[in-house]
Amino acid sequence: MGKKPGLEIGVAVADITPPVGAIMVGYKPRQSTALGHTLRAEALVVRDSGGGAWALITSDTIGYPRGYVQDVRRMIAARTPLAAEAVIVSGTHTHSGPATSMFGGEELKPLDVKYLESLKETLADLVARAWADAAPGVLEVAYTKAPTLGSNRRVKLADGTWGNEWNDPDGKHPGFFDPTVMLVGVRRPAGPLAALVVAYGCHPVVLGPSSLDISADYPGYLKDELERRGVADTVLFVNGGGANINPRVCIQVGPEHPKRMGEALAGIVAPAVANLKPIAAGTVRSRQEPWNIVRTRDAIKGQQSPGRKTGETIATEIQAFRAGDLSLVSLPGELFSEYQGMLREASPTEHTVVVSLANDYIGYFPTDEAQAQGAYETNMCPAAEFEGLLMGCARKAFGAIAD
Amino acid sequence: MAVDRGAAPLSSSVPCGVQVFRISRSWEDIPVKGNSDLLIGIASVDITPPVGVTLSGYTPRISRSIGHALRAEAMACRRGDKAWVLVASDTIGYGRDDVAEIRDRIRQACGLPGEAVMICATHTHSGPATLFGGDGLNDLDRQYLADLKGKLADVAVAAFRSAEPGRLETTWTEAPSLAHNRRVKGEDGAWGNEWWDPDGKHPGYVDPSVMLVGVRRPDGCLAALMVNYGCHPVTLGYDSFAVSPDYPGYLKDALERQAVAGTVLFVNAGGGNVNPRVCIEVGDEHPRKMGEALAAIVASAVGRLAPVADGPLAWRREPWTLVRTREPRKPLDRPGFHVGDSIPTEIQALRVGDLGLIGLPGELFSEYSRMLRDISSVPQTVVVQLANDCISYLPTDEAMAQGAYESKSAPVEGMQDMIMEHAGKAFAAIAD
Repeated sequence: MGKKPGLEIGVAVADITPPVGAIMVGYKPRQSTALGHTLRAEALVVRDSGGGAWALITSDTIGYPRGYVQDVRRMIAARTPLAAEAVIVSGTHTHSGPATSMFGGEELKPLDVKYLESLKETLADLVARAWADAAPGVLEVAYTKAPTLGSNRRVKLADGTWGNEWNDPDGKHPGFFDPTVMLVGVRRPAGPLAALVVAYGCHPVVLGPSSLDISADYPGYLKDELERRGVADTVLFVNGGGANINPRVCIQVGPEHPKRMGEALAGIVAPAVANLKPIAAGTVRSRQEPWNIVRTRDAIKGQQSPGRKTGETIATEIQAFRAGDLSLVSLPGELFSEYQGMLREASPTEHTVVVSLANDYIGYFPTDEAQAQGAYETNMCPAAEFEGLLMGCARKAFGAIAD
Repeated sequence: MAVDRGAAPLSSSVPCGVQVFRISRSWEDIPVKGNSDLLIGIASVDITPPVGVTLSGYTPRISRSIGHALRAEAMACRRGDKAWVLVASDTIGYGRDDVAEIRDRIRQACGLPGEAVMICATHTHSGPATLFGGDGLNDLDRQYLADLKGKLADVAVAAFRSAEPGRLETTWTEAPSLAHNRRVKGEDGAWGNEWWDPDGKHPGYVDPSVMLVGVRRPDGCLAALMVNYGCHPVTLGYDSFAVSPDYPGYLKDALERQAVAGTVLFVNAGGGNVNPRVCIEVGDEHPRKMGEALAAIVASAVGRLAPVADGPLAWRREPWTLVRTREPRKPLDRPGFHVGDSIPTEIQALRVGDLGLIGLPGELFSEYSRMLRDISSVPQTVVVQLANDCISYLPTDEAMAQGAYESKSAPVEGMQDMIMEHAGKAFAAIAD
């Protein structure tokens, strides 16, 4: 590797709690009646002295469609030196958050529309603040595991067909689950952790369709607990790929449930922070790889919209960012747990953060094995033989940031 | 015919422009895949008509003076035996037959297929009657229009032939306070138009995005800059009898005077329902003010231009045939103007690497800029209205249901789905 410039890293936080009354999505759209836990968005900006730069936005929402992300990116590009294509906009995938993605185009109320427009401003401003506040820092990485909090929700039934069992309190489901918790720390020269990114693949669905509270679900309580303990000034949560993974106890009502899961995960993360090691330095790069998928099955809903009927092309993207020996790869949908390892294997860098629900939402991303089995998630995958399409595009993106 | 070879000499003689903060400070800073064999040509030509020609956009009126020269610019991208060219020009727009003739001349001169040529107009309302002249054209008009087609073909060929190594860069900025949505809901609930809105009070949608596409030469200088913004060039009104490119001309002047880029092209994005806040005026101070305000916004963003990943050249002319279901706003005894007539037209997509252009044959509503970018198969997309044809306004379904001026000119209902479907096909055809 050639020059090894120091990095400047910026972190910013914004409250993005919608007003009570806002529609919540994830299950069938439902109107919120109370505030359970505030929602938050965070931005991480990384830049080097050679002009390379990227930004990651994490936020307590279900995810975003491409058009929304493009608007936010254009606003960021107009306010900072960041290129529009060097911004990842991701959601934790809480199912108790605002209707940033409607999964079928249901009608929104003026309250929702106003909130969604103002959220764009908030997200763009967030990155502008992180850019302006960027200061010298070092990226550090550590890994731990949380094997007892999640479970594969796909099960083979007695008749040999595959279906879903959402709850698994005793952890009996045999399906694959990647328990890896990847931690990325931002350490300032003086020593403290300015930020900690927790990447873990599990659906934030501790709260279920009968819960009408706005809530960040377990990631919100995880962030609370780690920040309360002083582990890092700001904690960001990235959903790594948990499309087929649910919390063992889920679809509940009452804040005690997401609190328990969030604090349990925080209890695993906190001791692992001592293992953070600086990554090998190197330049900052980004690549937005176009991904055009021809549908081989109709979308379940919203077929009047472009790209939702068989034969139509879905225009989306996979992004790869790099800073030295760390990379981030973004996926525009709900990623199966198996892909985390596959993507880390394909990555050109030692450490790779997998960011699902990023920059777009085009459906579930099952493995080919799961597609052959069927069940809920696979019906919402836009094309057959998806694994090859996904890994092919990701490899292209990785190739563009390789040495 | 004299064709000004815009960028080739300029790239080495014009100093670099405003440098606020550049993500990529030099050619080598950021790795760009396979950029070594992309050739980009830039050329421009004066197309100012003689005083006395008919001006169109409003009711046709005879010009009495030259307020500002008109210009056409061409940008050609070439690799190996593949190439496409874009021609941008200070006129109201072009009909399909004239575009076919220009494309044919280009094909004869340098072999470029018509499918790879996009001809667009800024939509100045103080330019020659390339459209909407009706039967009232005079001999001067007819001679000018015949010459103009030759000039537009020549400038495209000049760009094609002068292509030299370069790379494409893009960035975004916003101009939220220059324009307004001219469609308003009246107290009686009916929709109408208010052309002026000096205080920016109209609530309708306006896409404030300004997309910039730079052509950077290996020595680091910007040979060209394309400004893609959606707003009617109507700061000058029907009482203005001076030939003028309206605000885009002053925008180009200001940026070239500041040496931001050798040649500046203006490409009007979706602005069918968008007017300058101050408009329909008389006196060159008005388009100058708007053009220079936009130039200031653009100049401060040029430092953020970042390379676009290189990749294949591709193009697609997606045929689109409408069958008229609505009476025209002004009855005309011509093909396409009777209910039941076919209106053949096209949506065109061009691509080089991660940059795409989508050309729409009419006055595109502002909403479409983002809708088209959202379904684009390439990450960075220039939206080009009044490209290759002008069939009418291109409103959204919502605007069609509301009515008012623009909606009355649309030949069919349900145009939104047709636009998105054909654009989607064009985007799919240029995808990897």
